[in-house]
Amino acid sequence: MLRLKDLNLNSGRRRAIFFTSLTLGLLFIVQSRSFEGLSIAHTRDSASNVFREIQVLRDTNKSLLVEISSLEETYEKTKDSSRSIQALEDEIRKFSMITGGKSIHGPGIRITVPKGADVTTLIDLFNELYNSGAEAVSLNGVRLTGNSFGLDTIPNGQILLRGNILESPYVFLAIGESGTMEASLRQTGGFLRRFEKDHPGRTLKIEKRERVDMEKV
Amino acid sequence: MRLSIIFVVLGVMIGVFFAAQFGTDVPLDGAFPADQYQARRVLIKDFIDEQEGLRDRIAKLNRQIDERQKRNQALLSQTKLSYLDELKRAAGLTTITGKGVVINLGDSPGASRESTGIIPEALVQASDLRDLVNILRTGNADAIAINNQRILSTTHISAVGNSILVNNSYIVPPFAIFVVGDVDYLSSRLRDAGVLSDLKKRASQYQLQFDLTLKSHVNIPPYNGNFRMKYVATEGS
Repeated sequence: MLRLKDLNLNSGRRRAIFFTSLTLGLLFIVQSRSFEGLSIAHTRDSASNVFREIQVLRDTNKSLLVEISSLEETYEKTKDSSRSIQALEDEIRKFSMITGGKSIHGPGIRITVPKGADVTTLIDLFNELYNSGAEAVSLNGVRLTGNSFGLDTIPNGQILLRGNILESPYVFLAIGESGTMEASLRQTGGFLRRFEKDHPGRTLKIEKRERVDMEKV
Repeated sequence: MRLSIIFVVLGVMIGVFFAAQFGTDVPLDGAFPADQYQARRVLIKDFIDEQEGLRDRIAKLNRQIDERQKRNQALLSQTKLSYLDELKRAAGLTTITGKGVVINLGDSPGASRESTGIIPEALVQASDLRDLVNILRTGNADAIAINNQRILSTTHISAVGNSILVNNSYIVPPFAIFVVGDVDYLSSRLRDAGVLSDLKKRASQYQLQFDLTLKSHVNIPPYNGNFRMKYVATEGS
């Protein structure tokens, strides 16, 4: 049993022990606060802060302004009889692409999710991709449009999409700015890190692609 | 000798703490919650007000384009106009009305999203809304809106701090989820004990509000945001 009186220290050593103990105490507090913060952050969403909040709002408002500009242009065309036919054609083409009526392509990423991932993981990955700017997403060749793509688990653990059993590995394709999407997935506290924590020994394969193709629905 | 052991033990402990600290993924929040709260309120309010104005403008422009195209019927192909109407309906640009369900989801009574020491389980999380939307989709919902934000295939429901964004629009609890679809099938999906188990467990444990009402008339507003079309292309475009 170590007793204080056994520590026949000179003043230098006592000071060293004092400061070491003080440092240890401070580290205890900092670390316990970190874990307290982590308990809040350890949800299924990426870590974020007030600056990210502002950035999201600012970027959204910019995108809305671009949409307004495009709609104003369409509206102006509809006022002019000679250009209204072209405006109608343009709108049909635009909404055919959005709703899956046309085959589409563009730069993007391919993500391979290994066997063992559950429905919530796939839902969160969809969300992460759209959140980071994906314009279109497909899973195992099925392009996701409308509200008809709910994911379900059947009793043997397999995942259903539009009534079809999905074979693993699950392959996501996303069209959009590949660098932004990849960086979002790989960020500290992002989807990849959370996946690796929840599925020890497994990881996602994330590949940038110059061209990703998706068939019409 | 004993002193050396003490220093070795203390050194190892400090090393362990440093390693744990640097390995912890924590949001870069400020150390002063009150300051951060104030700054957040001031900075964000202007952006939200601006966003509401922009969304209203988009909704108005979409209505104006529709009206103008209907006035131009003599010039335009009826077949193409009907096709465009169908496409816009599929894209979420029309109001959808019909039988359906309304789900009310709220935080635990007394829980505040702005206070410190929040118990995450006592709050409705963005992931709860995502899971709910997924179940509604498996229930063949025709249209879904959360707090008047129309849900599309590209909708993302995300958390930023303790706030929830749907289509990058702020929504605050209580959350009202309006759904048009087959009432019996939707309600049976929602009442299935095997789905939304985490949310149902927390609703019981932390008294989260989670009510389902069947309705003969539900109104789902059109989407009033932007469509991202910068990178996607078709052959020949």
